Amino acid sequence: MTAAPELSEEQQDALTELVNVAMGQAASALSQLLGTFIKLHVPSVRVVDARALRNHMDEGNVLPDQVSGVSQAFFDQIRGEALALYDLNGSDHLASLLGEDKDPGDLAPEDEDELLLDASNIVTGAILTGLGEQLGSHFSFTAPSLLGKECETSDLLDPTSQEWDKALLVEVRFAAEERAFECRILLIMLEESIDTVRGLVDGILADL
Amino acid sequence: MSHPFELNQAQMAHILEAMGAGVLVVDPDFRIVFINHFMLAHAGRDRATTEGRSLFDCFPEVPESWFRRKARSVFSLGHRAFSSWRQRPYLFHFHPNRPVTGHAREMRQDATFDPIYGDDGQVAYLALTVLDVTETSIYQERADAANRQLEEISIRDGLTGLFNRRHLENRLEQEFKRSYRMGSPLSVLLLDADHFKFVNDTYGHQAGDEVLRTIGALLQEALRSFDLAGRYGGEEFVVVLPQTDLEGAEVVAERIRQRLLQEQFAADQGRFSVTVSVGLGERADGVESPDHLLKSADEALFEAKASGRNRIVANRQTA
Repeated sequence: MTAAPELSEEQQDALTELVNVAMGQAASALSQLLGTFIKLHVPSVRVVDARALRNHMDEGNVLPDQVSGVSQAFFDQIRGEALALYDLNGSDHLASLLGEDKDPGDLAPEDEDELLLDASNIVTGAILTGLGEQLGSHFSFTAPSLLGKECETSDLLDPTSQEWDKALLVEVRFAAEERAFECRILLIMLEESIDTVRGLVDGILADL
Repeated sequence: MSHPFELNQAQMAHILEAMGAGVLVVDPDFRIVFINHFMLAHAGRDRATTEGRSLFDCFPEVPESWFRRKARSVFSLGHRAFSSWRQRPYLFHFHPNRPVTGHAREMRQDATFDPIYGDDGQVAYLALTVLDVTETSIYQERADAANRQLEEISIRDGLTGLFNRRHLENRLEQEFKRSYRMGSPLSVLLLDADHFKFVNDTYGHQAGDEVLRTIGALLQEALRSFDLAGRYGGEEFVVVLPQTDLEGAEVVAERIRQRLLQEQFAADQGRFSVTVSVGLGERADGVESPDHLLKSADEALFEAKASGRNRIVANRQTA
Protein backbone atom coordinates (compact mmCIF):
# COMPACT_ATOMS: atom_id res chain seq x y z
CA MET A 1 0.00 0.00 0.00
CA THR A 2 1.77 3.09 -1.18
CA ALA A 3 0.16 6.33 -0.15
CA ALA A 4 0.83 9.18 -2.55
CA PRO A 5 3.13 11.72 -0.93
CA GLU A 6 0.56 14.50 -0.68
CA LEU A 7 0.65 14.48 3.10
CA SER A 8 3.87 14.31 5.04
CA GLU A 9 4.11 11.74 7.79
CA GLU A 10 3.81 14.51 10.35
CA GLN A 11 0.71 15.89 8.71
CA GLN A 12 -0.82 12.47 8.45
CA ASP A 13 -0.16 11.71 12.12
CA ALA A 14 -1.59 15.05 13.17
CA LEU A 15 -4.71 14.60 11.06
CA THR A 16 -5.21 11.06 12.40
CA GLU A 17 -5.05 12.47 15.91
CA LEU A 18 -7.60 15.19 15.07
CA VAL A 19 -9.92 12.59 13.56
CA ASN A 20 -9.46 10.49 16.65
CA VAL A 21 -10.60 13.32 18.91
CA ALA A 22 -13.55 14.09 16.63
CA MET A 23 -14.52 10.43 16.64
CA GLY A 24 -14.40 10.30 20.39
CA GLN A 25 -16.77 13.25 20.61
CA ALA A 26 -19.04 11.74 18.00
CA ALA A 27 -19.04 8.40 19.78
CA SER A 28 -19.92 9.84 23.16
CA ALA A 29 -22.75 11.86 21.65
CA LEU A 30 -23.94 8.75 19.90
CA SER A 31 -23.80 6.47 22.88
CA GLN A 32 -25.74 9.08 24.84
CA LEU A 33 -28.38 9.20 22.13
CA LEU A 34 -28.57 5.48 21.53
CA GLY A 35 -28.08 4.37 25.10
CA THR A 36 -25.39 1.88 24.22
CA PHE A 37 -21.63 1.84 24.42
CA ILE A 38 -19.95 2.69 21.13
CA LYS A 39 -16.68 0.98 20.30
CA LEU A 40 -14.16 2.75 18.14
CA HIS A 41 -11.38 1.51 15.94
CA VAL A 42 -8.29 3.54 15.18
CA PRO A 43 -9.11 5.78 12.22
CA SER A 44 -7.10 5.61 9.06
CA VAL A 45 -6.06 8.60 7.00
CA ARG A 46 -4.44 8.42 3.59
CA VAL A 47 -4.43 9.72 0.05
CA VAL A 48 -5.98 7.31 -2.46
CA ASP A 49 -6.82 7.23 -6.14
CA ALA A 50 -10.20 6.18 -7.51
CA ARG A 51 -9.23 2.55 -8.09
CA ALA A 52 -7.69 2.16 -4.67
CA LEU A 53 -10.86 3.54 -3.12
CA ARG A 54 -12.98 0.93 -4.86
CA ASN A 55 -10.71 -1.90 -3.79
CA HIS A 56 -10.59 -0.56 -0.31
CA MET A 57 -14.38 -0.43 -0.08
CA ASP A 58 -14.56 -4.05 -1.16
CA GLU A 59 -11.89 -5.34 1.17
CA GLY A 60 -13.20 -3.83 4.36
CA ASN A 61 -16.50 -5.67 4.37
CA VAL A 62 -17.22 -9.13 5.64
CA LEU A 63 -19.87 -9.60 2.98
CA PRO A 64 -18.89 -7.27 0.14
CA ASP A 65 -21.93 -8.19 -1.91
CA GLN A 66 -24.47 -7.33 0.75
CA VAL A 67 -23.59 -3.79 1.65
CA SER A 68 -25.94 -0.89 2.17
CA GLY A 69 -24.59 2.58 1.57
CA VAL A 70 -25.69 6.11 2.37
CA SER A 71 -24.08 9.20 0.93
CA GLN A 72 -23.94 12.75 2.20
CA ALA A 73 -22.10 15.44 0.33
CA PHE A 74 -20.20 18.04 2.31
CA PHE A 75 -19.09 21.39 1.03
CA ASP A 76 -17.80 24.76 2.18
CA GLN A 77 -14.04 25.05 2.65
CA ILE A 78 -13.60 21.32 2.20
CA ARG A 79 -15.56 19.51 -0.46
CA GLY A 80 -16.30 15.83 -0.77
CA GLU A 81 -18.62 13.05 0.12
CA ALA A 82 -19.19 10.96 3.21
CA LEU A 83 -20.17 7.35 2.68
CA ALA A 84 -21.68 5.28 5.46
CA LEU A 85 -21.42 1.55 4.76
CA TYR A 86 -23.27 -1.14 6.64
CA ASP A 87 -23.21 -4.86 6.25
CA LEU A 88 -26.41 -6.85 6.37
CA ASN A 89 -26.32 -7.20 10.14
CA GLY A 90 -25.67 -3.53 10.59
CA SER A 91 -28.71 -2.36 8.72
CA ASP A 92 -30.84 -5.03 10.37
CA HIS A 93 -29.97 -3.85 13.84
CA LEU A 94 -30.48 -0.17 13.27
CA ALA A 95 -34.13 -0.17 14.16
CA SER A 96 -33.58 -1.49 17.65
CA LEU A 97 -30.62 0.83 18.16
CA LEU A 98 -32.64 3.90 17.37
CA GLY A 99 -35.13 2.99 20.04
CA GLU A 100 -37.97 1.82 17.87
CA ASP A 101 -39.74 -1.03 19.59
CA LYS A 102 -40.44 -2.83 16.38
CA ASP A 103 -38.71 -6.01 15.37
CA PRO A 104 -36.54 -5.22 12.32
CA GLY A 105 -38.49 -7.82 10.35
CA ASP A 106 -41.73 -5.92 10.91
CA LEU A 107 -40.53 -2.67 9.39
CA ALA A 108 -41.78 -1.50 6.02
CA PRO A 109 -38.93 -1.02 3.54
CA GLU A 110 -39.40 2.76 3.57
CA ASP A 111 -39.16 2.85 7.36
CA GLU A 112 -36.05 0.71 7.28
CA ASP A 113 -34.51 3.03 4.67
CA GLU A 114 -35.36 6.02 6.78
CA LEU A 115 -33.70 4.56 9.87
CA LEU A 116 -30.61 3.82 7.81
CA LEU A 117 -30.58 7.42 6.59
CA ASP A 118 -31.18 8.81 10.09
CA ALA A 119 -28.44 6.75 11.66
CA SER A 120 -25.99 7.71 8.93
CA ASN A 121 -26.89 11.35 9.28
CA ILE A 122 -26.28 11.22 13.02
CA VAL A 123 -22.93 9.46 12.75
CA THR A 124 -21.69 11.39 9.74
CA GLY A 125 -22.91 14.69 11.15
CA ALA A 126 -21.22 14.01 14.48
CA ILE A 127 -17.89 13.26 12.83
CA LEU A 128 -18.00 16.16 10.39
CA THR A 129 -19.01 18.59 13.10
CA GLY A 130 -16.29 17.27 15.42
CA LEU A 131 -13.65 17.30 12.71
CA GLY A 132 -14.71 20.81 11.70
CA GLU A 133 -14.18 21.95 15.29
CA GLN A 134 -10.77 20.28 15.43
CA LEU A 135 -9.64 21.73 12.13
CA GLY A 136 -11.10 25.14 12.79
CA SER A 137 -13.17 24.76 9.65
CA HIS A 138 -16.83 24.21 9.01
CA PHE A 139 -18.55 21.48 7.07
CA SER A 140 -21.96 22.07 5.56
CA PHE A 141 -23.63 18.90 4.46
CA THR A 142 -26.60 17.82 2.41
CA ALA A 143 -29.44 15.50 3.27
CA PRO A 144 -28.43 11.82 3.20
CA SER A 145 -29.38 9.74 0.20
CA LEU A 146 -29.51 6.00 -0.15
CA LEU A 147 -26.95 4.69 -2.66
CA GLY A 148 -27.99 1.08 -2.52
CA LYS A 149 -29.22 -1.66 -0.25
CA GLU A 150 -27.73 -5.10 0.15
CA CYS A 151 -25.80 -4.74 -3.07
CA GLU A 152 -22.16 -5.04 -4.14
CA THR A 153 -19.87 -2.26 -3.02
CA SER A 154 -18.92 -1.70 -6.65
CA ASP A 155 -22.57 -0.82 -7.36
CA LEU A 156 -22.33 2.08 -4.93
CA LEU A 157 -19.73 3.90 -7.01
CA ASP A 158 -20.27 4.88 -10.59
CA PRO A 159 -16.85 4.38 -12.18
CA THR A 160 -17.75 6.46 -15.23
CA SER A 161 -18.52 9.63 -13.35
CA GLN A 162 -15.41 10.20 -11.28
CA GLU A 163 -14.45 13.83 -11.38
CA TRP A 164 -11.32 13.25 -9.34
CA ASP A 165 -8.07 11.29 -9.49
CA LYS A 166 -6.88 11.55 -5.95
CA ALA A 167 -8.70 12.04 -2.71
CA LEU A 168 -7.95 12.18 0.97
CA LEU A 169 -9.67 9.22 2.55
CA VAL A 170 -10.50 9.27 6.23
CA GLU A 171 -12.03 6.08 7.48
CA VAL A 172 -13.59 5.47 10.85
CA ARG A 173 -15.38 2.45 12.20
CA PHE A 174 -18.08 2.42 14.79
CA ALA A 175 -19.54 -0.59 16.49
CA ALA A 176 -22.28 -0.79 19.07
CA GLU A 177 -21.19 -2.97 21.90
CA GLU A 178 -24.30 -5.01 22.66
CA ARG A 179 -25.61 -5.48 19.18
CA ALA A 180 -23.98 -6.88 16.12
CA PHE A 181 -23.88 -3.51 14.55
CA GLU A 182 -20.97 -2.01 12.72
CA CYS A 183 -20.71 0.90 10.42
CA ARG A 184 -17.83 2.29 8.39
CA ILE A 185 -17.73 5.94 7.56
CA LEU A 186 -15.53 7.01 4.67
CA LEU A 187 -14.91 10.72 4.38
CA ILE A 188 -13.64 11.30 0.88
CA MET A 189 -12.20 14.78 0.50
CA LEU A 190 -11.56 15.73 -3.08
CA GLU A 191 -8.17 16.56 -4.49
CA GLU A 192 -8.83 20.29 -4.53
CA SER A 193 -9.49 20.18 -0.78
CA ILE A 194 -6.31 18.33 0.17
CA ASP A 195 -4.40 21.60 0.08
CA THR A 196 -6.94 23.23 2.36
CA VAL A 197 -6.74 20.38 4.86
CA ARG A 198 -2.95 20.44 4.74
CA GLY A 199 -2.98 24.18 5.39
CA LEU A 200 -5.27 23.77 8.39
CA VAL A 201 -3.18 20.92 9.79
CA ASP A 202 0.03 22.94 9.32
CA GLY A 203 -1.56 25.84 11.17
CA ILE A 204 -2.39 23.54 14.09
CA LEU A 205 1.10 22.00 14.06
CA ALA A 206 2.68 25.48 14.08
CA ASP A 207 0.62 26.44 17.12
CA LEU A 208 1.85 23.48 19.15
CA MET B 1 -22.52 47.88 15.00
CA SER B 2 -25.35 48.44 12.56
CA HIS B 3 -24.07 47.72 9.08
CA PRO B 4 -25.48 49.87 6.27
CA PHE B 5 -26.36 46.71 4.34
CA GLU B 6 -27.93 44.88 7.27
CA LEU B 7 -31.60 43.97 7.14
CA ASN B 8 -33.71 45.03 10.07
CA GLN B 9 -35.82 42.56 11.98
CA ALA B 10 -39.05 43.51 10.23
CA GLN B 11 -37.43 42.95 6.86
CA MET B 12 -36.05 39.58 7.93
CA ALA B 13 -39.47 38.62 9.23
CA HIS B 14 -41.02 39.61 5.93
CA ILE B 15 -38.61 37.36 4.03
CA LEU B 16 -39.54 34.44 6.29
CA GLU B 17 -43.21 35.12 5.67
CA ALA B 18 -42.87 35.53 1.92
CA MET B 19 -40.60 32.62 1.17
CA GLY B 20 -41.98 29.77 -0.91
CA ALA B 21 -41.23 27.17 1.70
CA GLY B 22 -42.73 26.26 5.04
CA VAL B 23 -41.02 27.36 8.25
CA LEU B 24 -42.23 26.20 11.61
CA VAL B 25 -40.41 26.57 14.92
CA VAL B 26 -41.17 24.52 18.04
CA ASP B 27 -39.78 24.54 21.57
CA PRO B 28 -38.59 21.37 23.35
CA ASP B 29 -42.21 20.68 24.38
CA PHE B 30 -43.23 20.82 20.74
CA ARG B 31 -45.26 23.99 21.15
CA ILE B 32 -45.35 26.09 18.01
CA VAL B 33 -43.50 29.34 18.61
CA PHE B 34 -43.47 30.49 15.01
CA ILE B 35 -45.22 29.46 11.82
CA ASN B 36 -44.86 31.24 8.49
CA HIS B 37 -47.41 32.22 5.89
CA PHE B 38 -46.64 29.27 3.57
CA MET B 39 -47.59 26.82 6.32
CA LEU B 40 -50.69 28.72 7.41
CA ALA B 41 -51.97 29.21 3.88
CA HIS B 42 -51.57 25.57 2.95
CA ALA B 43 -53.04 24.35 6.21
CA GLY B 44 -55.95 26.81 6.01
CA ARG B 45 -55.11 27.99 9.53
CA ASP B 46 -54.29 31.29 11.16
CA ARG B 47 -51.70 32.33 13.67
CA ALA B 48 -54.17 32.59 16.55
CA THR B 49 -55.11 28.91 16.38
CA THR B 50 -51.58 27.60 15.92
CA GLU B 51 -48.94 29.59 17.76
CA GLY B 52 -48.52 28.53 21.36
CA ARG B 53 -50.29 25.24 20.74
CA SER B 54 -48.84 21.76 20.45
CA LEU B 55 -47.60 20.79 17.01
CA PHE B 56 -49.28 17.41 17.32
CA ASP B 57 -52.66 18.95 18.23
CA CYS B 58 -52.51 21.42 15.37
CA PHE B 59 -51.25 18.91 12.82
CA PRO B 60 -52.45 15.46 13.87
CA GLU B 61 -51.14 14.00 10.61
CA VAL B 62 -47.54 14.49 11.83
CA PRO B 63 -46.52 11.12 13.32
CA GLU B 64 -45.63 11.96 16.89
CA SER B 65 -43.21 9.21 17.87
CA TRP B 66 -41.38 9.61 14.58
CA PHE B 67 -41.12 13.37 15.03
CA ARG B 68 -39.90 12.99 18.60
CA ARG B 69 -37.19 10.62 17.46
CA LYS B 70 -36.02 13.09 14.82
CA ALA B 71 -36.17 15.91 17.34
CA ARG B 72 -34.10 14.00 19.88
CA SER B 73 -30.91 14.26 17.86
CA VAL B 74 -31.63 17.94 17.18
CA PHE B 75 -32.16 18.88 20.83
CA SER B 76 -29.63 16.57 22.46
CA LEU B 77 -26.82 16.61 19.89
CA GLY B 78 -27.47 19.90 18.15
CA HIS B 79 -27.65 17.97 14.92
CA ARG B 80 -29.52 18.77 11.79
CA ALA B 81 -31.94 16.01 10.75
CA PHE B 82 -33.68 15.38 7.44
CA SER B 83 -36.80 13.84 6.05
CA SER B 84 -37.17 12.92 2.39
CA TRP B 85 -40.30 12.35 0.29
CA ARG B 86 -38.75 9.07 -0.82
CA GLN B 87 -39.26 7.52 2.58
CA ARG B 88 -42.10 9.72 3.81
CA PRO B 89 -44.01 11.39 1.00
CA TYR B 90 -45.39 14.14 3.20
CA LEU B 91 -45.38 15.42 6.79
CA PHE B 92 -48.23 17.87 6.52
CA HIS B 93 -51.44 17.08 4.80
CA PHE B 94 -51.33 19.86 2.19
CA HIS B 95 -52.98 20.01 -1.19
CA PRO B 96 -50.61 20.01 -4.15
CA ASN B 97 -50.23 23.19 -6.15
CA ARG B 98 -51.77 21.88 -9.35
CA PRO B 99 -55.20 20.58 -8.40
CA VAL B 100 -56.29 20.42 -12.04
CA THR B 101 -53.28 19.34 -14.08
CA GLY B 102 -51.12 17.72 -11.42
CA HIS B 103 -50.76 14.04 -10.68
CA ALA B 104 -50.25 13.93 -6.92
CA ARG B 105 -52.95 13.88 -4.29
CA GLU B 106 -50.69 15.29 -1.62
CA MET B 107 -47.97 17.88 -1.68
CA ARG B 108 -44.75 15.87 -1.50
CA GLN B 109 -42.34 17.33 1.03
CA ASP B 110 -38.69 17.33 1.99
CA ALA B 111 -38.04 18.65 5.45
CA THR B 112 -35.02 19.81 7.43
CA PHE B 113 -34.88 19.90 11.23
CA ASP B 114 -32.43 22.55 12.43
CA PRO B 115 -31.26 23.30 15.96
CA ILE B 116 -31.71 26.93 17.03
CA TYR B 117 -29.49 27.91 19.95
CA GLY B 118 -30.51 30.11 22.84
CA ASP B 119 -28.25 32.64 24.56
CA ASP B 120 -27.15 29.97 27.04
CA GLY B 121 -25.62 27.89 24.25
CA GLN B 122 -28.25 25.18 24.57
CA VAL B 123 -30.61 24.19 21.77
CA ALA B 124 -33.73 26.24 22.54
CA TYR B 125 -35.82 25.56 19.45
CA LEU B 126 -36.19 23.30 16.51
CA ALA B 127 -36.77 24.98 13.16
CA LEU B 128 -38.53 22.86 10.60
CA THR B 129 -38.18 23.86 6.95
CA VAL B 130 -40.64 22.24 4.58
CA LEU B 131 -40.04 22.20 0.82
CA ASP B 132 -42.65 21.42 -1.80
CA VAL B 133 -41.00 18.75 -3.97
CA THR B 134 -44.14 17.47 -5.67
CA GLU B 135 -42.99 18.17 -9.22
CA THR B 136 -39.51 16.74 -8.72
CA SER B 137 -40.82 13.64 -7.01
CA ILE B 138 -43.27 12.89 -9.80
CA TYR B 139 -40.62 13.21 -12.50
CA GLN B 140 -38.30 11.10 -10.39
CA GLU B 141 -40.91 8.41 -9.94
CA ARG B 142 -41.57 8.32 -13.67
CA ALA B 143 -37.86 8.09 -14.40
CA ASP B 144 -37.48 5.33 -11.78
CA ALA B 145 -40.32 3.35 -13.32
CA ALA B 146 -38.88 3.74 -16.83
CA ASN B 147 -35.44 2.70 -15.58
CA ARG B 148 -36.81 -0.34 -13.84
CA GLN B 149 -38.58 -1.33 -17.04
CA LEU B 150 -35.43 -0.83 -19.12
CA GLU B 151 -33.37 -2.78 -16.64
CA GLU B 152 -35.88 -5.61 -16.70
CA ILE B 153 -35.81 -5.68 -20.49
CA SER B 154 -32.02 -5.63 -20.57
CA ILE B 155 -31.68 -8.73 -18.39
CA ARG B 156 -34.42 -10.87 -19.97
CA ASP B 157 -34.53 -13.16 -22.95
CA GLY B 158 -37.39 -11.92 -25.12
CA LEU B 159 -38.74 -15.32 -26.14
CA THR B 160 -38.79 -17.23 -22.85
CA GLY B 161 -38.81 -14.44 -20.26
CA LEU B 162 -35.86 -16.14 -18.53
CA PHE B 163 -32.64 -14.24 -17.83
CA ASN B 164 -30.41 -13.66 -20.83
CA ARG B 165 -26.91 -15.03 -21.07
CA ARG B 166 -25.09 -11.89 -19.99
CA HIS B 167 -27.19 -11.40 -16.88
CA LEU B 168 -27.01 -15.05 -15.98
CA GLU B 169 -23.23 -15.02 -16.19
CA ASN B 170 -23.09 -11.97 -13.92
CA ARG B 171 -25.35 -13.60 -11.38
CA LEU B 172 -23.43 -16.87 -11.56
CA GLU B 173 -20.27 -14.98 -10.73
CA GLN B 174 -21.89 -13.48 -7.62
CA GLU B 175 -23.29 -16.83 -6.55
CA PHE B 176 -19.94 -18.46 -7.12
CA LYS B 177 -18.20 -15.95 -4.86
CA ARG B 178 -20.86 -16.29 -2.21
CA SER B 179 -20.71 -20.06 -2.30
CA TYR B 180 -16.92 -19.97 -2.10
CA ARG B 181 -16.98 -17.62 0.88
CA MET B 182 -19.69 -19.45 2.78
CA GLY B 183 -18.43 -22.90 1.82
CA SER B 184 -21.94 -23.73 0.67
CA PRO B 185 -22.68 -26.01 -2.31
CA LEU B 186 -23.50 -24.59 -5.73
CA SER B 187 -24.59 -26.52 -8.78
CA VAL B 188 -25.14 -25.63 -12.39
CA LEU B 189 -27.53 -27.37 -14.73
CA LEU B 190 -27.09 -27.13 -18.50
CA LEU B 191 -30.13 -28.27 -20.43
CA ASP B 192 -30.36 -28.78 -24.16
CA ALA B 193 -33.45 -29.73 -26.19
CA ASP B 194 -32.74 -32.93 -28.13
CA HIS B 195 -32.91 -32.89 -31.95
CA PHE B 196 -34.08 -29.30 -31.92
CA LYS B 197 -32.98 -28.72 -35.50
CA PHE B 198 -35.22 -31.60 -36.53
CA VAL B 199 -38.19 -30.00 -34.69
CA ASN B 200 -37.59 -26.70 -36.44
CA ASP B 201 -37.13 -28.30 -39.86
CA THR B 202 -40.13 -30.64 -39.54
CA TYR B 203 -42.73 -28.63 -37.62
CA GLY B 204 -41.59 -25.09 -38.38
CA HIS B 205 -39.93 -22.33 -36.36
CA GLN B 206 -43.13 -21.34 -34.61
CA ALA B 207 -43.38 -24.84 -33.16
CA GLY B 208 -39.71 -24.62 -32.22
CA ASP B 209 -40.33 -21.33 -30.42
CA GLU B 210 -43.25 -22.90 -28.60
CA VAL B 211 -40.95 -25.67 -27.37
CA LEU B 212 -38.46 -23.10 -26.03
CA ARG B 213 -41.22 -21.11 -24.32
CA THR B 214 -42.58 -24.27 -22.73
CA ILE B 215 -39.17 -25.31 -21.43
CA GLY B 216 -38.77 -21.79 -20.02
CA ALA B 217 -42.12 -22.03 -18.24
CA LEU B 218 -41.35 -25.52 -16.89
CA LEU B 219 -38.02 -24.31 -15.50
CA GLN B 220 -39.63 -21.41 -13.70
CA GLU B 221 -42.29 -23.72 -12.31
CA ALA B 222 -39.77 -26.27 -11.06
CA LEU B 223 -37.37 -23.87 -9.38
CA ARG B 224 -37.13 -22.21 -5.99
CA SER B 225 -37.29 -18.44 -5.72
CA PHE B 226 -33.52 -18.09 -5.34
CA ASP B 227 -32.59 -20.39 -8.23
CA LEU B 228 -31.60 -18.60 -11.43
CA ALA B 229 -32.73 -19.78 -14.85
CA GLY B 230 -31.55 -18.36 -18.14
CA ARG B 231 -31.57 -19.06 -21.85
CA TYR B 232 -27.97 -19.57 -22.78
CA GLY B 233 -28.43 -19.40 -26.51
CA GLY B 234 -30.32 -21.37 -29.18
CA GLU B 235 -31.98 -24.34 -27.49
CA GLU B 236 -29.64 -24.35 -24.52
CA PHE B 237 -30.67 -23.34 -20.99
CA VAL B 238 -28.70 -22.81 -17.77
CA VAL B 239 -29.96 -23.08 -14.24
CA VAL B 240 -27.87 -21.93 -11.27
CA LEU B 241 -28.81 -23.78 -8.08
CA PRO B 242 -27.41 -22.17 -4.91
CA GLN B 243 -27.23 -24.25 -1.73
CA THR B 244 -27.57 -27.38 -3.85
CA ASP B 245 -25.16 -30.28 -4.33
CA LEU B 246 -25.08 -32.67 -7.30
CA GLU B 247 -27.63 -35.04 -5.73
CA GLY B 248 -30.09 -32.19 -5.21
CA ALA B 249 -29.45 -30.92 -8.73
CA GLU B 250 -30.16 -34.39 -10.13
CA VAL B 251 -33.56 -34.39 -8.42
CA VAL B 252 -34.40 -31.00 -9.95
CA ALA B 253 -33.14 -32.05 -13.39
CA GLU B 254 -35.11 -35.31 -13.30
CA ARG B 255 -38.28 -33.45 -12.31
CA ILE B 256 -37.86 -31.13 -15.30
CA ARG B 257 -37.06 -33.97 -17.68
CA GLN B 258 -40.13 -35.97 -16.57
CA ARG B 259 -42.38 -32.95 -16.70
CA LEU B 260 -41.38 -32.16 -20.29
CA LEU B 261 -42.11 -35.74 -21.36
CA GLN B 262 -45.76 -35.18 -20.46
CA GLU B 263 -45.93 -32.16 -22.73
CA GLN B 264 -47.47 -32.62 -26.19
CA PHE B 265 -46.81 -30.06 -28.90
CA ALA B 266 -49.13 -29.56 -31.84
CA ALA B 267 -48.25 -28.25 -35.30
CA ASP B 268 -49.87 -28.45 -38.72
CA GLN B 269 -47.63 -31.40 -39.48
CA GLY B 270 -48.80 -33.33 -36.43
CA ARG B 271 -48.24 -33.77 -32.72
CA PHE B 272 -44.84 -34.36 -31.22
CA SER B 273 -43.01 -34.39 -27.92
CA VAL B 274 -39.52 -33.26 -26.99
CA THR B 275 -36.83 -34.69 -24.75
CA VAL B 276 -33.89 -32.94 -23.13
CA SER B 277 -30.34 -33.82 -22.21
CA VAL B 278 -28.94 -32.35 -19.03
CA GLY B 279 -25.39 -31.91 -17.78
CA LEU B 280 -24.69 -31.09 -14.13
CA GLY B 281 -21.63 -29.56 -12.51
CA GLU B 282 -20.83 -28.59 -8.94
CA ARG B 283 -18.43 -26.12 -7.41
CA ALA B 284 -15.71 -28.15 -5.74
CA ASP B 285 -11.95 -28.26 -5.24
CA GLY B 286 -10.50 -27.98 -8.69
CA VAL B 287 -13.49 -26.03 -9.99
CA GLU B 288 -12.13 -22.60 -9.22
CA SER B 289 -14.12 -20.26 -11.42
CA PRO B 290 -17.62 -19.75 -12.80
CA ASP B 291 -16.26 -20.55 -16.26
CA HIS B 292 -14.80 -23.76 -14.99
CA LEU B 293 -18.10 -24.70 -13.38
CA LEU B 294 -19.97 -24.10 -16.64
CA LYS B 295 -17.37 -26.10 -18.49
CA SER B 296 -17.77 -29.01 -16.11
CA ALA B 297 -21.55 -29.00 -16.68
CA ASP B 298 -20.94 -28.70 -20.42
CA GLU B 299 -18.72 -31.80 -20.40
CA ALA B 300 -21.49 -33.70 -18.65
CA LEU B 301 -24.01 -32.44 -21.19
CA PHE B 302 -21.78 -33.64 -24.00
CA GLU B 303 -21.68 -37.05 -22.39
CA ALA B 304 -25.48 -37.08 -22.00
CA LYS B 305 -25.81 -36.32 -25.70
CA ALA B 306 -23.17 -38.86 -26.72
CA SER B 307 -24.66 -41.64 -24.64
CA GLY B 308 -28.10 -41.43 -26.25
CA ARG B 309 -29.84 -38.17 -25.16
CA ASN B 310 -32.98 -37.83 -22.96
CA ARG B 311 -30.87 -38.30 -19.87
CA ILE B 312 -29.04 -36.56 -17.06
CA VAL B 313 -25.31 -36.81 -16.47
CA ALA B 314 -23.58 -35.37 -13.42
CA ASN B 315 -19.91 -34.46 -13.65
CA ARG B 316 -18.38 -36.12 -10.59
CA GLN B 317 -14.77 -36.03 -11.75
CA THR B 318 -13.94 -33.11 -9.55
CA ALA B 319 -16.39 -33.71 -6.72
